[in-house]
Amino acid sequence: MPSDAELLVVKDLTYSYLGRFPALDGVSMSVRRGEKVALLGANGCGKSTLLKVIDGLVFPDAGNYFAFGEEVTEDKLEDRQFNEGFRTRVGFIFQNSDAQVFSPTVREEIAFGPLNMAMDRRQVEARVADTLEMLGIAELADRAPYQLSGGQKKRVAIASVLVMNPEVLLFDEPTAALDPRSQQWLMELIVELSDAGKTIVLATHDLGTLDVLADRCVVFSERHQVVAEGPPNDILADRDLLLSVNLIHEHTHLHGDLAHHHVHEIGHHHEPEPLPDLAAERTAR
Amino acid sequence: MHIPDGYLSPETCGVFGAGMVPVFATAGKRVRRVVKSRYVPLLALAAAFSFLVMMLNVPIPDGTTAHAVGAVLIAVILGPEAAIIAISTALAIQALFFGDGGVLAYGANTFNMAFVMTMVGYFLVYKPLTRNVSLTSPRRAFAAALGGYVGLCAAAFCAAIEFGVQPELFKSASGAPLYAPYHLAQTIPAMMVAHLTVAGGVEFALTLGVILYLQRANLPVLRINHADASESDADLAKPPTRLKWWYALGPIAAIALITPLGLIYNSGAFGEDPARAKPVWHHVLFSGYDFSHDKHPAVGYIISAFVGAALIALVLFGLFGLSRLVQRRRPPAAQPAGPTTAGPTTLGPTMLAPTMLGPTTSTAALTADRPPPTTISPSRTPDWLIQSQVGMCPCGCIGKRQRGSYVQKTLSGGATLMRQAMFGEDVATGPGLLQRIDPRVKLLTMLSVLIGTALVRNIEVLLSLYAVTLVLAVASHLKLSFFVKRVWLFIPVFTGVVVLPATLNIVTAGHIVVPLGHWWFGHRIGMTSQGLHSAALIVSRVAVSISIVVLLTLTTPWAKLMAALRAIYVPRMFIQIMAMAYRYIFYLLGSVDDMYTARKSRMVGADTDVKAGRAFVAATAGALFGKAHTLSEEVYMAMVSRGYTGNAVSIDTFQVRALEAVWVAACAVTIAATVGIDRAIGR
Ligand SMILES: Nc1ncnc2c1ncn2[C@@H]1O[C@H](COP(=O)(O)OP(=O)(O)O)[C@@H](O)[C@H]1O
Ligand SMILES: [Mg+2]
Repeated sequence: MPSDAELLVVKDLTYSYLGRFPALDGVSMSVRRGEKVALLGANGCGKSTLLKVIDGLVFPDAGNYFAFGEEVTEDKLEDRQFNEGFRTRVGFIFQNSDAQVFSPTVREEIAFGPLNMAMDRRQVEARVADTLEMLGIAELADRAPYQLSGGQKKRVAIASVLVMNPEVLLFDEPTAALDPRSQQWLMELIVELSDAGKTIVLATHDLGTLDVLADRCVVFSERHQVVAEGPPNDILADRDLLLSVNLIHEHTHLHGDLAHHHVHEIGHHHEPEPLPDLAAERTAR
Repeated sequence: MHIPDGYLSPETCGVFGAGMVPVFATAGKRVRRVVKSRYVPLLALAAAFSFLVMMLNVPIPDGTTAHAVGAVLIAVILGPEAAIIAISTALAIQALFFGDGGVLAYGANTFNMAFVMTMVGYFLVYKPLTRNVSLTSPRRAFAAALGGYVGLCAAAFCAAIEFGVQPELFKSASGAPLYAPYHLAQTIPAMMVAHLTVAGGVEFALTLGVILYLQRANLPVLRINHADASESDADLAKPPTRLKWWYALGPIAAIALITPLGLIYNSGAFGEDPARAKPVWHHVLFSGYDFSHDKHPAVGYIISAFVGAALIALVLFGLFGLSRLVQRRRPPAAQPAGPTTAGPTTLGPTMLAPTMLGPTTSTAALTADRPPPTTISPSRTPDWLIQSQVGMCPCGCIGKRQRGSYVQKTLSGGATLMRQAMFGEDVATGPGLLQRIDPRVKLLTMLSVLIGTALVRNIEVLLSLYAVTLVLAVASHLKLSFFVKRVWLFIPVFTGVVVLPATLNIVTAGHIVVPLGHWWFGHRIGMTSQGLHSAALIVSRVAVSISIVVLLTLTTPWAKLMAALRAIYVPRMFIQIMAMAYRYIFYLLGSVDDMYTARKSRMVGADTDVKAGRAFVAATAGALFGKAHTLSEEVYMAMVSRGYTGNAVSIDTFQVRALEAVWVAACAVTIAATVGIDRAIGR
């Protein structure tokens, strides 16, 4: 049985799409409470698939997955209470915001999760308002998601997850396809959420942002296996490893700008607004 | 094939509306039982898909429009009940939001395109032909395509009958038709020729393309409705050549069956004047010919029917030839088993293999997504598979835009729709009289006014009603020019084109007031006063009906409209599917536009309109469906991730105030006054 500090544990996961296309092959790893873990690997190595397993959206062909000390299976998620508990505690921000924002308006989008949790309407409305405010999208509340820009859509997607105040946040390639300013904003938000006590798991192949976004990296090979694990600096220093998993190529210079691409910018920004008392609310429940 | 409001008498609409209620109820219940909540996004997607397919249409004089529907395709994938729901959803969105197809005529439209088409195509054609056929057999794909073809023609036939009987059943005292002016002898050939050739061909190619694509790339999707069909390749071994004759004979037999029907109506079964029963349509088809069979209109009819049949046979043989060509070029089916081989590399070519339509068309559309082959990196994830990257066009590759293509027009129409929808949302949330009224109340009152309009038989009364809609538009802060344009640019103008021939004495007998010469087989030809009158009547009625629907949609945000539907007891699932479908439509429109642009930029030389359109639809459909399916899976996951378990919940609440009471009273008075005055004037 996994220890208390280990919130999420996966053991020997194997998964293939349509029974033909392998995505995970004997993957084991764990995530501790309050940690920022980066799943690192080239395209197609299985990062998104692992996140989907962790969010209880796909179920492994073989292997086990434990969350909060309990095994998560398809059968268990059929149980209403377990489902509700699990879904509120784990939030997933998909890579493709287009898939994630499907409601007719932004407000309804954000209310979708809490309403499914059978929360009181008035409470839902208050929470939605708070979240809109917090992410600076209050003026978009009555727009339709398809009217929004990529960056705005991402904010809505994040708001729709944060409104449920999950303990664990899963980000799939969070900064992909965002302009530099939105990227910067998102990175700050992730750090901020982590400081507020959230556990963060993110999938990325962007080495430049690693040391800000991760305390620990789990490196995947293109054969869908875990090949290394360690703090960002150790991983970034291991040129042979990065070469072998196709995260860099012969001509990449790891020293210089790549390794600390964004590091110095973080501290310079104005102190971000404090999170609304989401964390307090969670403990109170 | 969309029948707008104003074409059918309210009685006809009532009959079909009432008739469809049990169909919806049964289909809805069965869908809920059979299709798991997991497939709700897929259902919505199917609806969006059908919406897009129906946007590719050509207007037919004497009829409405010709287009494919995709009902049988959806029935094959998700089951017939799901197809009925999906098509009905698409039609609801079109009727409610885009003014395409009437709100009152919704029953008739769903009867034709959702019910008849699915039943005929799926149960009468597809099912019997696939009794012992494996899931991956090309025979199954062709059976589905044939089902689509026959189903579409059956639906068109029903539509033709529905508005063809209007002039027989509903005419004014002076004999002028009150609703659709064309007789069966004109509507049936007009609708049938267009659907047996153009639209049927598109439907066939579309269904075939998507099913072949799914057989190759995503068998689990076909499993949804075929849980126990064997996957054995026993049938695969048989060359599809054997089936050639069989399938080509089907449509010809269908035509042979339908041809005499047209002749029956020609011979005055409904007491028509034989002089005006002469088919108008073959003149359109053979515009370069000089047909002087004024004694034997039937000969022209039969010849035309056979030309149509020959065309279909040609298309079919062409498709068979191409599919065999593709078959030969298909890469070996064996997949590398172990994780030692890089899975993704093999996935690429398999998924990208042209589904059916020869090298020029399908590859062009598909390569839009294929990254150029790189020699440096041997394995590349097919990212397009897992993240539908369309929507925003990443490449600036805008090819030379060729004017005049109907696909092109439809697509730019799509862009306009998108802009309209966005603009509409802004207006809908703005200040104004109608915006302030509770959406439920608004929906119900507007519906009543719509029925009242359908009952009116005098142009004067209709014109006053039109003035009322203009006043309401102003009171709701809609820009008048915008409102008028929005209404008139849509169906009424097209109705004008369609009904114009009806003003001629060859369609509507009467006193010729605008003589046009003597060239119609030696007869005098011209516009009759009765014809002009009934044309004006139908155009103004359509205009008022559309104005009412546009007023409703322009002053009600889409989400509120959905909530209002919920409040009047439209089932939750239906609304949920509709809301999601609506969202997919915009997403898919972006995809189609990208694909079309990409393909266009690669095409050298001019293509004929219809041919290009059909090829494009077939080539794109498979890829689009695959992409869309991946998206729908992802949307489903995003919903489950946030606690969705199959129940739709909404945040909206309503209240009814004094304003609503006044509004309801005003509407009631208007309806009573209109119908009362109309009956008092008589005619
Ligand atoms: N829906 C799908 N159908 C088939 N194969 C898929 C699908 N999604 C992902 N795959 C395959 O599974 C593997 C892992 O994909 P994924 O987890 O998305 O990788 P990553 O997120 O690391 O880029 C890839 O080889 C990919 O081609
Ligand atoms: Mg991924």
